[in-house]
Amino acid sequence: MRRTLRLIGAGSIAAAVGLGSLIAAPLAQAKPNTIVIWTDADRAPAVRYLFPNGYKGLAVDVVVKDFGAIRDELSKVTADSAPDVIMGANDWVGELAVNGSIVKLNLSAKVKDQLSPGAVQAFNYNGSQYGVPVAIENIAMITNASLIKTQPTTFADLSTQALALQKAGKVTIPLAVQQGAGGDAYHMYPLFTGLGGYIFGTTPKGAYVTSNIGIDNKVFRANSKLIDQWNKTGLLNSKVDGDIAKAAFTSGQSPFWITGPWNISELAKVTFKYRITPVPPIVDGLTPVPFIGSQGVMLTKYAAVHGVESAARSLVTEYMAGEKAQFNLSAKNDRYPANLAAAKRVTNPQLKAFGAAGAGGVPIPNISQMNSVWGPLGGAWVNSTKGEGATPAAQAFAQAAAAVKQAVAG
Amino acid sequence: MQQLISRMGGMPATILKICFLGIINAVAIWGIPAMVANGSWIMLAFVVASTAALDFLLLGSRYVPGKYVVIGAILLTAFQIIPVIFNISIAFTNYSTGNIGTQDDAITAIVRDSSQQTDSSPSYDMLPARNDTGDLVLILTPQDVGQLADSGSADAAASDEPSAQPGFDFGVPSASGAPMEFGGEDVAPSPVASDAGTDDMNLPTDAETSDYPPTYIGTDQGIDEVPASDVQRDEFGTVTGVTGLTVVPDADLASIDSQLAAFKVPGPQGGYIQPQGLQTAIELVPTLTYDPAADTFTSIGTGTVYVDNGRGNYANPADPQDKLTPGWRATVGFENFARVFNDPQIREPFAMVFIWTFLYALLSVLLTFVVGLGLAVVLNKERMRGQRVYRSLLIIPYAVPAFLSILVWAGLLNDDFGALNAVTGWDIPWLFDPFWARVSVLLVNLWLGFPYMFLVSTGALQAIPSELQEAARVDGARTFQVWRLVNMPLLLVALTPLLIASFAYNFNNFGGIYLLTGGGPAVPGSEVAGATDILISYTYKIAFAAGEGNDYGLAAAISIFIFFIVGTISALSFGRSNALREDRA
Repeated sequence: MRRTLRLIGAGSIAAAVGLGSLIAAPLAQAKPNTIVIWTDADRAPAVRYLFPNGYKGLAVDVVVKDFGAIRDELSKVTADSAPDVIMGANDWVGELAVNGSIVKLNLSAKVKDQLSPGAVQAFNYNGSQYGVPVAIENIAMITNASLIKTQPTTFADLSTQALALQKAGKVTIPLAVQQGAGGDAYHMYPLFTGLGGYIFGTTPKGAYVTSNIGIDNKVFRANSKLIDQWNKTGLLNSKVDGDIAKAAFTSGQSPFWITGPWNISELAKVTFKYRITPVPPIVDGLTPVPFIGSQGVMLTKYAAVHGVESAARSLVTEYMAGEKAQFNLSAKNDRYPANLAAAKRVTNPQLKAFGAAGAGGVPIPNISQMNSVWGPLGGAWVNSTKGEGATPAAQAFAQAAAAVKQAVAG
Repeated sequence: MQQLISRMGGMPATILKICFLGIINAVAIWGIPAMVANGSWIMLAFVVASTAALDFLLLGSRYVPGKYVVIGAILLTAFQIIPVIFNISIAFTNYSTGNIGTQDDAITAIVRDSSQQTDSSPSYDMLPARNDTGDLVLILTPQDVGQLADSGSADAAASDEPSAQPGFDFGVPSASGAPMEFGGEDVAPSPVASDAGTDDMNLPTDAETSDYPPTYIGTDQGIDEVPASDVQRDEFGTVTGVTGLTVVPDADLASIDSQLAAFKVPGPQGGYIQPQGLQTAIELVPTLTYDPAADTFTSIGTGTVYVDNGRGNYANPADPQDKLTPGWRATVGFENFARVFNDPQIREPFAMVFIWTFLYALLSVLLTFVVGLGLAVVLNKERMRGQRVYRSLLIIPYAVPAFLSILVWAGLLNDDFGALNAVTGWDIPWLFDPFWARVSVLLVNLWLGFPYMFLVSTGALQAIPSELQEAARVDGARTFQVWRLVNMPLLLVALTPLLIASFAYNFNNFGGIYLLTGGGPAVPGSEVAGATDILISYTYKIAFAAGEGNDYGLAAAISIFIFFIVGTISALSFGRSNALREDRA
């Protein structure tokens, strides 16, 4: 009895082994003749919509990943499960290019001319092109039109009106810009540039010069007294974080909100009228400009391994750059297209207004040194606008500049 | 489980066992091809050995103790020992952004990306085709100037109405003062003008051809112009074929994909015309040559020779910072460990972070223990009414998922808008001042941790025989003396290991810090470490958010330090607690 059982056991294990190998064989290889695209849940339906019948005789497989995970997993993935094309942000380019995970693209003048030059530049790293932009986004200032009858044309005017409302007890937060304990240099960037700040200088060709750090430049330093003043009057308050800013503006407790197109759906819910404009000039001769973020498609090194390099490259540079693809993406995803012809066809008025507020904006530097900037720069804003006991701005930003300098040199 | 199975008797138990083994075997087999493909030989050996051992032991009826020991050993190896070995091996490498793959990957990538588009690189419309012998050739037509003009006008239209479409202007210098000239002038002069101009010059000016640019056939020998009469066009003038050649249909493109990607046509400018997809080809000029024998790269322009610097990069020996990217993962010995001591950027925050980590863990344990024990003692009175209700209420913080509580606390503690300051009328910068931020993380940890201490203390208190206390009272001891001399020693014997475990846990309590303050507030002058960063959150920031991207090697080295610190403290403490026990004996 026991012996028979043992024989049966051995037999079933052998069977299981055989079955296992059968399953293993096809799973261990990437699907043939398929272009795999990694994108996030927001964009995936739009991307799927673009390729109902695959692309140029190949199937297109859209894999949904967490946005940040697309970048992180690309350097750890095995070739079998790796994507051929990823859709991501322009500030990933530096890291992915240095890792060799994404492949240099060569764009013909014909393709480049269809696209917003700044957005193309945003995917350029060290003079080489690593991605094709499909969308651009930037923050703007939203004004509660029922609280602010005349749109301020200068920042001083904005400050006067906002503080008067606060004094009258009509609002609790005069200007809602999100910071929070960790700081938010991205949302503070229009104010930063409005005071004359910049992060890294560039060569005439557009490569960043990391030794030229403009966080504490002379012009900015001279204007930084204004930050101390904003802090003193309570116009800016670093304790306002993203949730507080959103709640304050949408409930009418703040007349001004600096935010981006990702809150268009929130704005649809408010009961009052609002305007979307750029941040008004703070100092004569300086324009407050936002960072321009850009999303785009990149070709990974795995496309060659999977034998679909030509088709995947064609999808990225010949198809996704085009008007049709970008217009459809934009229509499904509330982002401003990077393709000029598609951008002209945008009808959503809020989206157009956000696009207009991006005038003069600069791409987020895509070099990996940027990772050492966000923390200190955001921290300088937090420390100089935390109310009582705040560090004088000149000192806070000098410290931030020193920290960045040290990090970049090290 | 074992009891259950044996009660079910031989037959069903055996079948269950066989199913279990079958699944294990199938999973192992399923993994083998992937492990072979990735060359993970150690992993493969481990999987094969452990599966074979399981089969052998569980199918046989001898070696009964072995059944338990082997399963335990396999799980220990899989979930403890292998990750530790992996971590240690990473600590000795330069695994970080820019050095993640193998040397072969790096060479492939450098060669692949080294061909450059020059300012005058001509672009061609491309049609892959086959000649009469079936060889792949490219039908190349320099991209139409007319089309360039078209898109140029679109661009011009956009800039005509800056108020409507100004989003495109970004990168154009705004009306700003000195600083903007760095951030602003980064866009090269309009590519329309320059490229259209150069393309124009590159087009052979052949008086005989019509308005159409000439069409070429590209082979690996070079390009040949096709007589205009042989070029087939559609009604828009787009080239659709050449007499004598068969254009590869869309459906067949997949079969020539790799061939096309590698196709190189020597071009008129000394470079190679290479397909850039399925419809476009661009002439690219190589900038580096690789010499496999010498294992060096040579720059064609400057003649600089890049050699393997032994640290995972090809670098210029004259200027070690002049490296080619990407690099690869190389062994760098004790460099990461040395950096912790030698690099002031790491060393200075490390000392600060280390002291705070120690304080954080110690104070967390002390506070939770004192509060938990106090409550346990108070609620331990037999005659107390509603004892159960109180006890249940006190366990609530423990029952709510910690990450939720922490996020809620982060909101409550906001100093201007948080409930705590609003209700109490205080004006304490809970999360914004380094001191108060530290107080906050401790308070929140107290909230999260005291129910546990309360539970274990209650259990330990109830386990103390009441005769001992009565005996002490009979001997004339006062309440406090009973506590100090009878209850406390007995409690500590039972609880010391738990306190040590709690210390070790809090030493690495990542969530408690990261979710509440993110390690902040920022400390002036320190790039990575914030005021409340403990070693593990600091390590995380180095590994995933440091200056040059991710630095896994350094993070692994620091985590080894953390291991030794926690290990030493635990060993010392356990030694003390054993002493405690012996004193009593």
